[in-house]
Amino acid sequence: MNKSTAHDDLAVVDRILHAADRTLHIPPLILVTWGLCGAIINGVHQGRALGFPAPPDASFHVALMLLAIGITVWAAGRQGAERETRVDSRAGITFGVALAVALLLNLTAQDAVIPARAMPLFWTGSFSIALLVVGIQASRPLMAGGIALLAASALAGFVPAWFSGTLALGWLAGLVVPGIVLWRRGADA
Amino acid sequence: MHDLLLSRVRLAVIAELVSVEWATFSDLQRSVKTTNGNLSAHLAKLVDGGYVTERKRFVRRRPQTRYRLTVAGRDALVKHVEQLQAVIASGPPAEGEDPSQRLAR
Repeated sequence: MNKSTAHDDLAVVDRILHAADRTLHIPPLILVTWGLCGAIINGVHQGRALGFPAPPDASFHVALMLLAIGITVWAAGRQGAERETRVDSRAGITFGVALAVALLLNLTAQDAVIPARAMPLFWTGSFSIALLVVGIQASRPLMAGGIALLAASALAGFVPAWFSGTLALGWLAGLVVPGIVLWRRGADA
Repeated sequence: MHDLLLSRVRLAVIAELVSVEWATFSDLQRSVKTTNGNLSAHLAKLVDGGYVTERKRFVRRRPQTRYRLTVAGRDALVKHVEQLQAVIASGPPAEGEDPSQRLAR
């Protein structure tokens, strides 16, 4: 190989690597689903606290979670993306870990160590960390969502009478709103 | 030199795949800007050489082929780039910007 060809080949590699795709492709339906899931659970808690008739937690928590997981798997499989970027891969891992940690603590520590009333804070904490980590790297709507969910988590402790309602609003602002924003933009973050 | 990477199209495909987890055939075709048949032939060689893996699936009832870079493919690209830099450094500098310096950024 001569020097000119080597030069041109290196230029090809250089151009491709400098133009590498670092966008996030996340199905907005997944964000909206989990946001609604969290908002419904906390909204029902708030309704109960205000004296409204509400179904027992066990009757709908598991069903909602299974529905959210099912929709997540379906939406991810149906996604017609033509590539998966490194950012997509890291986002999947981050949200997966956040979900797994919160679920594990929910199953092992609730009532034994963590009061049932405090458990929603672990969920909002886990998801706000995931939103912030992914958002800071690749998506302003997700970063704003992470800040909103974290703010709701922090604020909820100061308004005990509206604790669950504040968290419900946090889920709506943290996941549903960014999901709608991404959907309107065409799914790319 | 890695023989498989002496082709400009195959080199471009490997460089495209190094920055993503996977890419579809049509995505690679858009990026590399070559014909269906030409890209198919080059990808087949990369798959046979163990530099790329191929996975076929259906998305919304349409067939989709995804390609992913293997560890061997990544190592081959790194070594190939080092060898290209060595070729360039072996004599008087070429006119204009030195791409090896740009790559090092």
